[in-house]
Amino acid sequence: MKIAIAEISMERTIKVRFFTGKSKEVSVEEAKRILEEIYNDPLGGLVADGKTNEVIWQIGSDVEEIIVLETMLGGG
Amino acid sequence: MLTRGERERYDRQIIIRGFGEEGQQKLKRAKVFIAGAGGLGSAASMYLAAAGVGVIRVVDHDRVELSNLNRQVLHWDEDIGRRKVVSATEKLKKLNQEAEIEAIEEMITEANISQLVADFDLIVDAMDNLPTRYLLNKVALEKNIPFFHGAVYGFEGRAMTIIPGKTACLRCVYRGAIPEEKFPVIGVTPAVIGCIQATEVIKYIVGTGQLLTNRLLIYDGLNIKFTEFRVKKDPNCEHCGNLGGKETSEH
Repeated sequence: MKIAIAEISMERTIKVRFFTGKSKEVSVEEAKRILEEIYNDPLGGLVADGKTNEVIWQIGSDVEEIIVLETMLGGG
Repeated sequence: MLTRGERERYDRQIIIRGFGEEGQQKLKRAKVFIAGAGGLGSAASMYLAAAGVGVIRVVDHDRVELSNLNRQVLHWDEDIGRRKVVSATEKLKKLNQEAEIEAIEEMITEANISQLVADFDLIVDAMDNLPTRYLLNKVALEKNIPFFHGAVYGFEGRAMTIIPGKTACLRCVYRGAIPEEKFPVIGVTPAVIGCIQATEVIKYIVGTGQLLTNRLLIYDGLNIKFTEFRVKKDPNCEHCGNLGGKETSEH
């Protein structure tokens, strides 16, 4: 009897959770793009690692989920 | 030494465990600098005056406008057109005659900030723009003055406490140049955040509790949710990187 083994390549994905409540699963490249967009558009937005809640400036190899705080920094 | 009147006025907080008359005396001796007499400044200054902080200096260069009144509860209809610092002083004195309120009508700039905060023990960030916040952060670090950050946007607010040389500073969190723009805000948001700032100030002065250091508190009023983002002191931070020191949240 022959057994067929299929090769399955699993692309790493990142869960993106927006502070407002929405969330989606994206590729690492897309997560990096979202992070860059938040920091390049200087409105006071922040990105945190969903596991540690630590503010991050890049998507490290251990990041599985990010929390995105999009809103601008206002005042009194 | 507290007077009989002071013991009675502050009775309910003096009986808090870890507070006592000693804590009240510390508040009486404290000098707090509040940058801004807007929404955050209104809430923070009112609760600090009510709690018995000895000297409060409020700095603001604006006049009261109708569109301020949804959130800046120190200013009322009758104050429209008046200087905010004058309106603020009147209300705070009415709230607590024992408190010494110093009102300064000036725009905070790089040229005057050092003199404005001189001899003050703590700085409360109640500003509406990031450039001035950066100035406050820098002077707080230079003069080793604890700095209490607050910001609001719509139903969302943020707060963080900075102990110079020991904890992450504002520049460790915000690295960009955020433009000054008209922003949306509902009055209760600066009330919540201003009260958190006042709580932190009181805790720091009295020496009780765990401060909001190395943690950026995010308040989501739409869902009534508090979230903390952990913030690390950045060794390459252009404001505090040269200060060194071990990351800590000790009083």
